[in-house]
Amino acid sequence: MTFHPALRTGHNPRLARIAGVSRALSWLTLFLMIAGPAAIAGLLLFDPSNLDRMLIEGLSTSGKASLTPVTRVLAILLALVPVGLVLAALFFLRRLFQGFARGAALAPESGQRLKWIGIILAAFAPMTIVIGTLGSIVVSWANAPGEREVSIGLHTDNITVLVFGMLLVVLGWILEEAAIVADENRQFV
Amino acid sequence: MPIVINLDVMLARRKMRSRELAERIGITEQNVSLLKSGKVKGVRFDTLERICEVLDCQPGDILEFREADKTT
Repeated sequence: MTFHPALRTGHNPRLARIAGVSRALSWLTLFLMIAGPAAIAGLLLFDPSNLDRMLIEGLSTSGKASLTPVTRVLAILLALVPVGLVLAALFFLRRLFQGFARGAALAPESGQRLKWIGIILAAFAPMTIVIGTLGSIVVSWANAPGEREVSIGLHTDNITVLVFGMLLVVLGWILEEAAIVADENRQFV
Repeated sequence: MPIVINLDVMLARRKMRSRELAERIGITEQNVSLLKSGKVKGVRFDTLERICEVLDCQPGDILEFREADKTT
């Protein structure tokens, strides 16, 4: 039988590489978690005149809309939902990378975190459709009768994100199972 | 468990310390200690092979089946 002392003593170059890359990625996700909201806040603070234009461009298909204070607040809240989902996904992604960096690649928590990222991504796709529809109603609410709009859109991107999210959910389950097997394997000498 | 590990007996017979065995078979001393106390789920064939090679013994010298006491 072949004997691999390096693997037996716990010094595994591949695991060390995974830990190193994961550490760097956990810092990158932290940067994105801070930079994203900071960029939005900066845009609102330093260029508030463009807020209405951005909301209308983002939520209306025809571009014919004028916002009242109430619809503006509603449109901002709707626009913040995807931002919140992305931040939640980044939070779980950071926790996942932190776990990998600590060497807990095959741990049940890693599987649970990956599953949550998948659930958020899978929810992101239908949520985008609902937000797009509600947004089109909100931004055109103050329009004259006959110029209000309801737009329901389905992009291939939505389907891609949905499928990718579901794939991550299944991979999360598999990782949880793998963690159980790895734990059992650790009890073999 | 009806499987009893007699590794400590074999180590005593060969006048070898756990640390030396661990170094020679390439596992940690902690794992040798766990193996001696029977607190493991299993022993890999390659580990058993190396133990037998180093201690110059047969697997039966290390592993023993003892019927569990059915009265308890």
